[in-house]
Amino acid sequence: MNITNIIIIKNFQYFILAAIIVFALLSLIIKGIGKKFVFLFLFILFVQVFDLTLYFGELFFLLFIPMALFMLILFLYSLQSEAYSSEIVNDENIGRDGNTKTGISKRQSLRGEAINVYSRFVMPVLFSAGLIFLFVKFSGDYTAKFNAEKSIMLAGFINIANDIFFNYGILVFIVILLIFILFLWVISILLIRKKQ
Amino acid sequence: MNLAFIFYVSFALCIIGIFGAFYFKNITAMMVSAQFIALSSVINFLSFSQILYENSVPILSFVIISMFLILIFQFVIIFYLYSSLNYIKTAKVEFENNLFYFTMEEWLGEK
Repeated sequence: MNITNIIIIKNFQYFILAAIIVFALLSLIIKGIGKKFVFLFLFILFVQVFDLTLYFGELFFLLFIPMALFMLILFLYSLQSEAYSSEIVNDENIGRDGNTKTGISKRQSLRGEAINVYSRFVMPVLFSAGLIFLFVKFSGDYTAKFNAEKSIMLAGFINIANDIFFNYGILVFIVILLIFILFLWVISILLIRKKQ
Repeated sequence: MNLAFIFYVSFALCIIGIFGAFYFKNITAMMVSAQFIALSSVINFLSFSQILYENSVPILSFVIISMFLILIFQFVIIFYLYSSLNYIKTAKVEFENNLFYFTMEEWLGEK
Protein backbone atom coordinates (compact mmCIF):
# COMPACT_ATOMS: atom_id res chain seq x y z
CA MET A 1 0.00 0.00 0.00
CA ASN A 2 1.35 3.43 -0.90
CA ILE A 3 0.73 6.84 0.63
CA THR A 4 1.19 10.01 -1.36
CA ASN A 5 0.00 12.59 1.17
CA ILE A 6 2.44 13.20 4.00
CA ILE A 7 1.62 16.86 4.70
CA ILE A 8 -0.98 16.20 7.42
CA ILE A 9 1.44 15.13 10.11
CA LYS A 10 4.37 17.28 8.98
CA ASN A 11 3.98 19.98 11.67
CA PHE A 12 3.05 17.39 14.26
CA GLN A 13 6.50 15.80 13.82
CA TYR A 14 8.29 19.05 14.75
CA PHE A 15 6.32 19.19 17.99
CA ILE A 16 7.13 15.55 18.79
CA LEU A 17 10.86 15.95 18.10
CA ALA A 18 11.00 19.04 20.34
CA ALA A 19 9.19 17.13 23.08
CA ILE A 20 11.66 14.23 22.71
CA ILE A 21 14.67 16.51 23.31
CA VAL A 22 13.01 18.33 26.24
CA PHE A 23 11.94 15.12 28.01
CA ALA A 24 15.37 13.54 27.40
CA LEU A 25 17.12 16.49 29.07
CA LEU A 26 14.64 16.57 31.95
CA SER A 27 14.91 12.84 32.62
CA LEU A 28 18.70 13.09 32.69
CA ILE A 29 18.96 16.23 34.86
CA ILE A 30 16.27 15.62 37.51
CA LYS A 31 17.56 13.71 40.52
CA GLY A 32 14.33 12.49 42.08
CA ILE A 33 13.68 8.91 40.98
CA GLY A 34 9.91 9.26 40.61
CA LYS A 35 9.98 12.37 38.43
CA LYS A 36 12.98 11.05 36.47
CA PHE A 37 11.09 7.95 35.45
CA VAL A 38 7.91 9.85 34.66
CA PHE A 39 9.88 11.99 32.17
CA LEU A 40 11.70 8.91 30.84
CA PHE A 41 8.34 7.25 30.25
CA LEU A 42 7.11 10.34 28.40
CA PHE A 43 10.33 10.41 26.35
CA ILE A 44 9.94 6.80 25.24
CA LEU A 45 6.23 7.35 24.57
CA PHE A 46 7.00 10.31 22.31
CA VAL A 47 9.69 8.33 20.45
CA GLN A 48 7.12 5.63 19.76
CA VAL A 49 4.58 8.27 18.68
CA PHE A 50 7.22 9.54 16.27
CA ASP A 51 7.49 6.00 14.86
CA LEU A 52 3.74 6.09 14.47
CA THR A 53 3.94 9.31 12.45
CA LEU A 54 6.46 7.58 10.17
CA TYR A 55 3.75 4.94 9.52
CA PHE A 56 5.44 2.23 11.59
CA GLY A 57 2.38 1.42 13.65
CA GLU A 58 3.58 -2.04 14.69
CA LEU A 59 6.68 -0.66 16.35
CA PHE A 60 4.52 1.22 18.84
CA PHE A 61 3.52 -2.11 20.39
CA LEU A 62 6.60 -4.20 19.56
CA LEU A 63 9.12 -1.78 21.10
CA PHE A 64 7.10 0.11 23.69
CA ILE A 65 6.00 -2.91 25.77
CA PRO A 66 9.51 -4.41 26.27
CA MET A 67 10.88 -0.91 26.96
CA ALA A 68 8.20 -0.32 29.56
CA LEU A 69 9.07 -3.65 31.20
CA PHE A 70 12.75 -2.72 31.23
CA MET A 71 11.93 0.68 32.72
CA LEU A 72 9.88 -1.02 35.44
CA ILE A 73 12.78 -3.17 36.64
CA LEU A 74 15.18 -0.20 36.36
CA PHE A 75 12.75 1.87 38.46
CA LEU A 76 12.53 -0.86 41.13
CA TYR A 77 16.30 -1.19 41.21
CA SER A 78 16.77 2.60 41.48
CA LEU A 79 14.25 2.77 44.33
CA GLN A 80 16.12 0.05 46.20
CA SER A 81 19.54 1.65 45.64
CA GLU A 82 18.20 5.07 46.65
CA ALA A 83 16.83 3.68 49.91
CA TYR A 84 20.17 2.07 50.78
CA SER A 85 22.24 5.06 49.63
CA SER A 86 20.35 7.44 51.96
CA GLU A 87 21.32 5.20 54.90
CA ILE A 88 24.95 5.15 53.75
CA VAL A 89 25.08 8.94 53.47
CA ASN A 90 23.78 9.22 57.01
CA ASP A 91 26.40 6.75 58.21
CA GLU A 92 29.22 8.59 56.44
CA ASN A 93 28.73 11.70 58.55
CA ILE A 94 29.43 9.72 61.70
CA GLY A 95 33.07 8.80 62.37
CA ARG A 96 34.38 5.52 63.72
CA ASP A 97 34.18 6.74 67.30
CA GLY A 98 30.60 7.69 66.83
CA ASN A 99 31.44 11.40 66.66
CA THR A 100 30.69 13.56 63.66
CA LYS A 101 33.55 14.49 61.28
CA THR A 102 35.60 17.60 61.94
CA GLY A 103 35.29 20.75 59.82
CA ILE A 104 38.78 20.39 58.24
CA SER A 105 38.22 16.89 56.92
CA LYS A 106 34.86 17.98 55.57
CA ARG A 107 36.50 20.91 53.79
CA GLN A 108 39.19 18.65 52.34
CA SER A 109 36.61 16.18 51.11
CA LEU A 110 34.61 19.01 49.55
CA ARG A 111 37.74 20.26 47.75
CA GLY A 112 38.52 16.77 46.47
CA GLU A 113 34.92 16.44 45.36
CA ALA A 114 35.15 19.75 43.43
CA ILE A 115 38.34 18.64 41.64
CA ASN A 116 36.73 15.29 40.86
CA VAL A 117 33.61 16.96 39.41
CA TYR A 118 35.80 19.31 37.35
CA SER A 119 37.85 16.45 35.90
CA ARG A 120 34.69 14.43 35.32
CA PHE A 121 33.02 17.34 33.54
CA VAL A 122 35.89 18.36 31.23
CA MET A 123 36.55 15.00 29.56
CA PRO A 124 32.96 14.31 28.39
CA VAL A 125 32.57 17.93 27.24
CA LEU A 126 35.76 17.69 25.15
CA PHE A 127 34.66 14.35 23.72
CA SER A 128 31.20 15.66 22.84
CA ALA A 129 32.67 18.87 21.38
CA GLY A 130 34.97 16.78 19.16
CA LEU A 131 32.02 14.74 17.93
CA ILE A 132 29.95 17.88 17.24
CA PHE A 133 32.90 19.42 15.35
CA LEU A 134 33.27 16.31 13.17
CA PHE A 135 29.51 16.21 12.57
CA VAL A 136 29.28 19.87 11.56
CA LYS A 137 32.37 19.65 9.36
CA PHE A 138 31.44 16.53 7.41
CA SER A 139 27.62 16.49 7.36
CA GLY A 140 27.08 19.82 5.55
CA ASP A 141 27.40 18.37 2.06
CA TYR A 142 25.78 15.10 3.03
CA THR A 143 22.45 16.58 4.16
CA ALA A 144 22.21 18.70 0.98
CA LYS A 145 21.99 15.55 -1.14
CA PHE A 146 18.78 14.24 0.43
CA ASN A 147 15.97 13.62 -2.02
CA ALA A 148 12.83 12.40 -0.35
CA GLU A 149 10.71 9.75 -2.05
CA LYS A 150 7.32 11.04 -3.09
CA SER A 151 5.44 7.85 -2.30
CA ILE A 152 5.87 5.99 0.96
CA MET A 153 5.31 2.28 1.36
CA LEU A 154 3.55 1.02 4.47
CA ALA A 155 5.29 -2.00 5.94
CA GLY A 156 2.88 -4.26 7.77
CA PHE A 157 3.67 -6.97 10.27
CA ILE A 158 3.23 -9.65 7.59
CA ASN A 159 5.99 -8.04 5.49
CA ILE A 160 8.32 -7.96 8.49
CA ALA A 161 7.63 -11.59 9.34
CA ASN A 162 8.19 -12.57 5.69
CA ASP A 163 11.47 -10.70 5.61
CA ILE A 164 12.74 -12.32 8.81
CA PHE A 165 11.67 -15.74 7.48
CA PHE A 166 13.38 -15.46 4.08
CA ASN A 167 16.25 -13.04 4.62
CA TYR A 168 17.96 -14.59 7.62
CA GLY A 169 21.37 -12.95 7.09
CA ILE A 170 20.41 -10.40 9.74
CA LEU A 171 19.42 -13.14 12.14
CA VAL A 172 22.72 -14.98 11.68
CA PHE A 173 24.69 -11.79 12.27
CA ILE A 174 22.73 -10.95 15.41
CA VAL A 175 22.95 -14.49 16.80
CA ILE A 176 26.75 -14.39 16.32
CA LEU A 177 26.80 -11.04 18.14
CA LEU A 178 24.67 -12.46 20.96
CA ILE A 179 26.95 -15.47 21.37
CA PHE A 180 29.99 -13.18 21.47
CA ILE A 181 28.41 -10.96 24.17
CA LEU A 182 27.39 -14.00 26.24
CA PHE A 183 30.90 -15.42 25.88
CA LEU A 184 32.42 -12.18 27.23
CA TRP A 185 29.86 -12.03 30.03
CA VAL A 186 30.43 -15.63 31.19
CA ILE A 187 34.23 -15.33 31.01
CA SER A 188 34.25 -12.12 33.05
CA ILE A 189 31.98 -13.64 35.73
CA LEU A 190 34.14 -16.76 35.94
CA LEU A 191 37.32 -14.69 36.31
CA ILE A 192 35.84 -12.64 39.14
CA ARG A 193 34.55 -15.75 40.94
CA LYS A 194 38.04 -17.27 40.72
CA LYS A 195 39.56 -14.14 42.26
CA GLN A 196 37.12 -14.26 45.16
CA MET B 1 9.28 16.85 7.04
CA ASN B 2 12.81 17.92 6.37
CA LEU B 3 15.03 14.87 6.80
CA ALA B 4 18.02 17.00 7.75
CA PHE B 5 16.05 18.28 10.76
CA ILE B 6 15.42 14.72 11.98
CA PHE B 7 19.10 13.98 11.40
CA TYR B 8 20.16 16.94 13.58
CA VAL B 9 17.66 16.14 16.33
CA SER B 10 18.74 12.51 16.54
CA PHE B 11 22.37 13.62 16.62
CA ALA B 12 21.56 16.01 19.50
CA LEU B 13 19.88 13.13 21.34
CA CYS B 14 22.92 10.93 20.72
CA ILE B 15 25.26 13.65 22.07
CA ILE B 16 23.08 14.04 25.20
CA GLY B 17 23.30 10.27 25.67
CA ILE B 18 27.08 10.15 25.18
CA PHE B 19 27.61 13.05 27.58
CA GLY B 20 25.34 11.46 30.19
CA ALA B 21 27.00 8.06 29.87
CA PHE B 22 30.44 9.57 30.40
CA TYR B 23 29.54 12.19 33.02
CA PHE B 24 27.31 10.40 35.51
CA LYS B 25 28.60 7.80 37.94
CA ASN B 26 25.21 6.41 38.84
CA ILE B 27 24.24 3.31 36.89
CA THR B 28 20.61 4.45 36.50
CA ALA B 29 21.70 7.61 34.68
CA MET B 30 24.06 5.52 32.53
CA MET B 31 21.24 3.16 31.53
CA VAL B 32 18.99 6.13 30.72
CA SER B 33 21.78 7.60 28.55
CA ALA B 34 22.18 4.24 26.80
CA GLN B 35 18.44 4.38 26.02
CA PHE B 36 18.95 7.81 24.44
CA ILE B 37 21.74 6.53 22.19
CA ALA B 38 19.76 3.45 21.14
CA LEU B 39 16.58 5.41 20.44
CA SER B 40 18.42 8.10 18.47
CA SER B 41 19.79 5.35 16.22
CA VAL B 42 16.28 3.93 15.87
CA ILE B 43 14.90 7.35 14.85
CA ASN B 44 17.68 7.69 12.28
CA PHE B 45 17.22 4.20 10.84
CA LEU B 46 13.45 4.50 10.53
CA SER B 47 13.26 8.02 9.15
CA PHE B 48 15.98 7.41 6.57
CA SER B 49 14.50 4.11 5.44
CA GLN B 50 10.98 5.53 5.25
CA ILE B 51 11.72 8.84 3.55
CA LEU B 52 14.67 8.03 1.27
CA TYR B 53 14.00 4.45 0.18
CA GLU B 54 10.87 2.76 -1.01
CA ASN B 55 11.30 -0.59 0.69
CA SER B 56 11.72 -0.21 4.44
CA VAL B 57 10.95 -3.79 5.46
CA PRO B 58 14.53 -5.18 5.86
CA ILE B 59 15.65 -2.24 8.01
CA LEU B 60 12.48 -2.54 10.08
CA SER B 61 13.15 -6.19 10.89
CA PHE B 62 16.77 -5.31 11.69
CA VAL B 63 15.65 -2.52 14.07
CA ILE B 64 13.15 -4.78 15.85
CA ILE B 65 15.60 -7.64 16.40
CA SER B 66 18.52 -5.44 17.39
CA MET B 67 16.43 -3.36 19.81
CA PHE B 68 15.13 -6.57 21.41
CA LEU B 69 18.72 -7.73 21.87
CA ILE B 70 19.85 -4.41 23.36
CA LEU B 71 16.89 -4.41 25.74
CA ILE B 72 17.52 -8.01 26.78
CA PHE B 73 21.17 -7.23 27.46
CA GLN B 74 20.29 -4.16 29.57
CA PHE B 75 17.57 -6.15 31.32
CA VAL B 76 20.12 -8.87 32.18
CA ILE B 77 22.54 -6.31 33.68
CA ILE B 78 19.88 -4.71 35.85
CA PHE B 79 18.39 -8.06 36.83
CA TYR B 80 21.82 -9.31 37.87
CA LEU B 81 22.40 -6.23 40.01
CA TYR B 82 18.87 -6.22 41.42
CA SER B 83 18.49 -9.88 42.22
CA SER B 84 21.72 -10.30 44.27
CA LEU B 85 21.67 -14.05 43.90
CA ASN B 86 24.61 -14.88 46.15
CA TYR B 87 24.48 -12.33 48.95
CA ILE B 88 22.45 -9.39 50.14
CA LYS B 89 23.74 -6.16 48.69
CA THR B 90 23.32 -3.05 50.75
CA ALA B 91 25.68 -0.77 48.85
CA LYS B 92 24.58 1.52 46.06
CA VAL B 93 26.14 0.54 42.74
CA GLU B 94 28.07 3.63 41.83
CA PHE B 95 31.36 3.71 39.99
CA GLU B 96 34.43 5.27 41.57
CA ASN B 97 35.08 7.36 38.47
CA ASN B 98 33.20 7.99 35.27
CA LEU B 99 33.22 5.71 32.24
CA PHE B 100 36.66 6.85 31.12
CA TYR B 101 38.20 4.93 34.03
CA PHE B 102 35.77 2.08 34.56
CA THR B 103 36.82 -1.47 35.41
CA MET B 104 35.05 -4.72 34.67
CA GLU B 105 34.37 -5.47 38.34
CA GLU B 106 32.48 -2.22 38.68
CA TRP B 107 30.26 -3.07 35.72
CA LEU B 108 29.44 -6.45 37.16
CA GLY B 109 28.56 -4.96 40.54
CA GLU B 110 31.11 -7.10 42.34
CA LYS B 111 33.11 -4.22 43.74
